[in-house]
Parts: sequence; structure tokens; C-alpha cells
Amino acid sequence: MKKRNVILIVCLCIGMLCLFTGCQQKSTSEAVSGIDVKSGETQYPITVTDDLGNVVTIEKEPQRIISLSPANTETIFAIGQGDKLVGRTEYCNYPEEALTVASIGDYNAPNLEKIIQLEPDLILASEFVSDEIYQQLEVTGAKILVFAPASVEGIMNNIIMTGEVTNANDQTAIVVEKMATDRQDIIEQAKTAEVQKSVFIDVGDFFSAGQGSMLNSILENINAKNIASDSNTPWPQLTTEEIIASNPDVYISLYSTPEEVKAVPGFEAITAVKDNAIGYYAFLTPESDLVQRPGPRIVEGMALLAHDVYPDIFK
Amino acid sequence: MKNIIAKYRIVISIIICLGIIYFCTLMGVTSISFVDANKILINQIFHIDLGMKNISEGAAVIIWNVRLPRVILAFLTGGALAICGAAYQGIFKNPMADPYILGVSSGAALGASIGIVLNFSGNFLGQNAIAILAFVGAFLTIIIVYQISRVGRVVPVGTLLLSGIAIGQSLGAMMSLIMIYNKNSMTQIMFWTMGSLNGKGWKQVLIVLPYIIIGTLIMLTSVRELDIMLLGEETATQLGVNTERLKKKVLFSSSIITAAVVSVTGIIGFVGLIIPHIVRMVTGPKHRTLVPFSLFFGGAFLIFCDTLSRTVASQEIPVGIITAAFGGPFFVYLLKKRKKGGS
Repeated sequence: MKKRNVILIVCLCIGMLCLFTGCQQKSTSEAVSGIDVKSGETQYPITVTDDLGNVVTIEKEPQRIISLSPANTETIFAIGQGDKLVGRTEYCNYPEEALTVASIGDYNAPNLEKIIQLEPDLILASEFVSDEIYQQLEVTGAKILVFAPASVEGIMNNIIMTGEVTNANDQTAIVVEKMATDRQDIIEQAKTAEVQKSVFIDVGDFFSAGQGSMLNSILENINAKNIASDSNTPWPQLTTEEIIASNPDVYISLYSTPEEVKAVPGFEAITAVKDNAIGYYAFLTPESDLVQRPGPRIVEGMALLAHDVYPDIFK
Repeated sequence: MKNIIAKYRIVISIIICLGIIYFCTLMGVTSISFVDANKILINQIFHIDLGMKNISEGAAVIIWNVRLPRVILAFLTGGALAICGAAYQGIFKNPMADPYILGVSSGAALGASIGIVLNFSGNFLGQNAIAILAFVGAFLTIIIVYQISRVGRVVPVGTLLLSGIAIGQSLGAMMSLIMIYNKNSMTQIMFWTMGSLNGKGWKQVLIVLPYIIIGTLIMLTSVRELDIMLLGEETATQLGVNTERLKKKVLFSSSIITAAVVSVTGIIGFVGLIIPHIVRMVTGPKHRTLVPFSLFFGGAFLIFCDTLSRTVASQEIPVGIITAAFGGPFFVYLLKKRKKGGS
């Protein structure tokens, strides 16, 4: 009888552990040590390692590419490979030419039959692709690269890898070098701020961007103190109490309207609300895409955020 | 001694609950000293200034506008759900009954998701439009379920349960459908259904309070009849209880309580199911003690869970996870203990 009690308690403890750890995110590998731009023709076969750590060998230049995220679609067009794109997601709305490409549905639940019908040889996915979909995509024989960048450097490295495997190194170098100089400009300007400002990013319901998220790294770049960066999870939810105590100078909302933010009980004591320093990016607007899409236009999004935080420097 | 405790147990419970509200208001992620927190509370309640100068505005706002209303809302929510659960378990004579068994939660969630999808984020007559839609959804669901199960002037309990489950499932399916076609609102709808007390203030407390008071008072007038119902519906009728009227009374009062609470906090599970059982194990099945003690214990339990949810980690843990994680094992423990005792 006693023994059964012990077993029961052990089972319950394990169950509870699973509950608490189940929501932690997959770790994404992050190789940042400067940007290494490639040039010239790609020599096939080429072996690359994607952000999930999968080692992928590509035998010959891909001719039929499917993008499973808006950011990848933008990259493909930016590096001049748009004519090879045969499939995109519902949400790929930029550049305009992308709309003429066949849609294969959603980024997390794409229509598998449509993908197979398009006979791709390269699939570019984001971390939102589920393991089941990944395995089924593998069966089609296409090579799959999963990108999960956690910083602007990570995004640039993803773009370089995309350029390398599609044999578009020179065009890619132009794109990435422009991103790198623009980014460096913003970083230098932001350094001139006399007082570092603190920022809270509200992704919706006080979920925020913590350690290991792209938005956190962008805030570091623009010399802003992210009040959610103490969290060791990428998407922590903060209590309103913690937000009030941290008293951010700037409030960036990616979901709630400024009116809703101001109406939260206790927020009247926050400097950002008092100064009306609330940056608002309504979901699915072009501006919101700039800020949230880990693609070639991310530096433009970075500039928008820099303007929200230091309006005197970034006019 | 035992007699005194028995005699004054309601008063003792109220004092304990007030103590819990007080202590949990002092606990939180931000370190506000014990002395400062007390100064803020005394200043706000009695308007006596004990040296507020050194206390930051943020601290005062956190204690008075964020923590205290959140703790009180936790008490009201937990207590209200537990009362409804106790009454439902009584009239349905079914240990699985909880406040959501007639589909109220699905109705509320459907209402809320319609509001979220249509971007009704603004205010309507000074109230949150999403909360109003959730309330309407919850209330309409009960009316539909009641009308479906009504046979003439009689409402068979079994039919009521079944139609509640059926309607609840179909409304849940409709909500999923809305989510699939509005992926951009999906996360928001999911947050809503998870239930949370984060970001709620005095306004929300004042919104639910009248419904809870009215509902609880109606419920308290029916406790004796509910006790007789324990003997079975037929016996109760023979003993002069108007069982149909009783059912209507309990259904109506639970519905307004649950609808109000759910529309403000989202769906917080487990409290309404487990607390009445735990209280019943201690006080016995008589509703005249079960109902008030469910209120106190349910309230205290949810305060405890919510305090954990906001203090345990640097990030919020949805309170529904905590209620299930603690309520489940605790309940299992009580079940095992009772089995050993042979009662």
C-alpha cells in the first residue's frame, strides 16, 4: 500500500514537472561572430548547417524553391531569385511580385499535397514548422533549411546561407552589406544618447520579448534597456506589477492600442504612459511586418524602433 | 473549546480570509518593504499619512491599484466558482458537475472570440466590449440549454446535463473554426481561454461584485431545499419542495455568477469542481455549511494559486495551470485518506 503511494506521488511530481517545462521553447543555435559574405559561383554539392542544427547537403543548384515564411519569401526576392520561387504562404505579401506565386497555405500548417504537387527541390522554413510537417516534407525528397534567427546578425547569416545554396552570392553580398552598414549607422547614432532609456515590448497580454528573442537583441543594438531581458525565456509574460515597478520610459505595443495600454490599472504611474511615449504597431500592418519579420528589411524595422525610443536622435 | 469553534466558525473563516488577502497583498515580485506596504494601505484606506514621502509613486500604485484588487478579484472568482460548483453538484447529484458543465465557458469563449476577431477592443458604455460579449454568450448558452431540455414545465436533470455538454461542444467547435479562419487573433483567443487575473483592477472587481452578491444571496436562500434534494428528487417533491422552482433558482443564480466571473477573468478551471468536494469531506454534505465554506475556501485557494502564479518565476504562469497542478494531487490525497479511514 505504502509503495503504491510513493509511486503515485512520483508520477504526479513528474507530471507537474512536464507541465512547467513543457512550454519552454526549442533552443535555437546562434552562430554570431561577424558576418562572412560569400562571392562568386557556388560549388555544388554544398553542405550547410541550418538553425536547428540539421546538416543538409545540396547536390545541385535548386530550381524550384518553396518558402514557408514571409521572411524567406522576402529574402528570395531580395537576392534576385524570385523567378525560382514556386510556392509561398498566405502571409507572404511582400514584395508585390510574391502575390503571383502559388500559395501553399499557412506557415505552421501548410497544405502538404500542394507542396508535393509543386515538386520543390528546396524548402525554406521557419521555426514554426512542426516536427510532423518537417518529417513529411523530408519524404518529398526536397532539401529543407529551417531558419530561426535570434538577432540581426543571425538574419544576415541566414540570408548569406540562402544566397549560397541558391548560387546568388554576389547579389546577396550587396543586400547584406547594405543591411550591415545601415545597422552600424543606427548603432553608432543610438550610442550618442545621453541617458539610456528603458523599454517594454508588449507582444499582447503583457507577453514580452526576453533573452534569446530577436526583438531583445534589436533593443540591445539600439542602446535601449529591455525590462524583460532578465527573463531567460524568449517570450515571458510579465505581471503588470513588474512592469510598473520597472517603470519603462518607452512602451512598444505590438497588439493592444495605446488607449488600452493607458487604461490598464496602475499604468498611469509609468513614465512611458505619462509622457505618451507609446509606440504602436497594429498586427499585420506593413510597419508591424518590418519590426517582426526576420528578413532583409529588418534594419528598416530597427530604425522604426530606434525612432520610438530616441525620437530626438532619430528624426 | 470545540463548541466555541463550531459556533463561531463563520466568523473565524472570515477573519482568516481577510488575513490571507492582507498577507498576499504584501507578497509580489517587486520588493516593497513590509513597512512601506502597510503605510500605503493605511494611507489609502484610512487617509492617515505615516510618511508617504519616501515611497515611490510606482510602489503606491502597485499595492493599491494592482495587487490588492487582483487579490480581491481572486477571492471573489474562486469563491464564486466554488459556490456554483457546490450547488450544481447538489441539484445534478453528479460529482463531475462544475460551473462550466452546462457550456457556460464555451458560450463565453465564443462571445469573447467574436469580440476579439471583430476587433471590439475598445469600450462600449464604459465597459470592455469583449467582456460584454462573453457575458452575453455565457448567458445565452444557459437559456438555450434550458429551453432544449425543458419538457413542458419540467426539466429532467439528465437531459439538462447532456444538452449542456452537447451545446458546449458545438460552441467550442465554432470557436475553433473562428480561430482557424482568423489566425492573427488566435493567440489572443488562446490567452483569453487560459484565464488570468493579470492586469485586472478595481473596475473588474466592481463589475463582478454585484452579480456575485445577488447570486450568492439567492443561493443562500435555497440551501435548505438543496439539502432535502440530497434525498432524491421524488422524495424532495413529496416533502413539499418545489424542485422545478429550486432548479430554476439555482440555475439562474449560478449562471449570472459564472457568466460575470468568466467574462472578466477568462476560464479558470478546477476550482469549481474540486473545492466543493474538499469542503464536503470536512464539513459534511449539508448545503447550509457547504455553500458558505465553499465560498471561503475557494476564494482562499484561488488567492493562493494566483499569488504563486505571479511570484514563483519572473514570468507569469497561467493560474489555471497552478490550480490544476495543486488541486489535483491534493484532491487525490484526500480521496486516499478517506478511503483508509473507511468513511
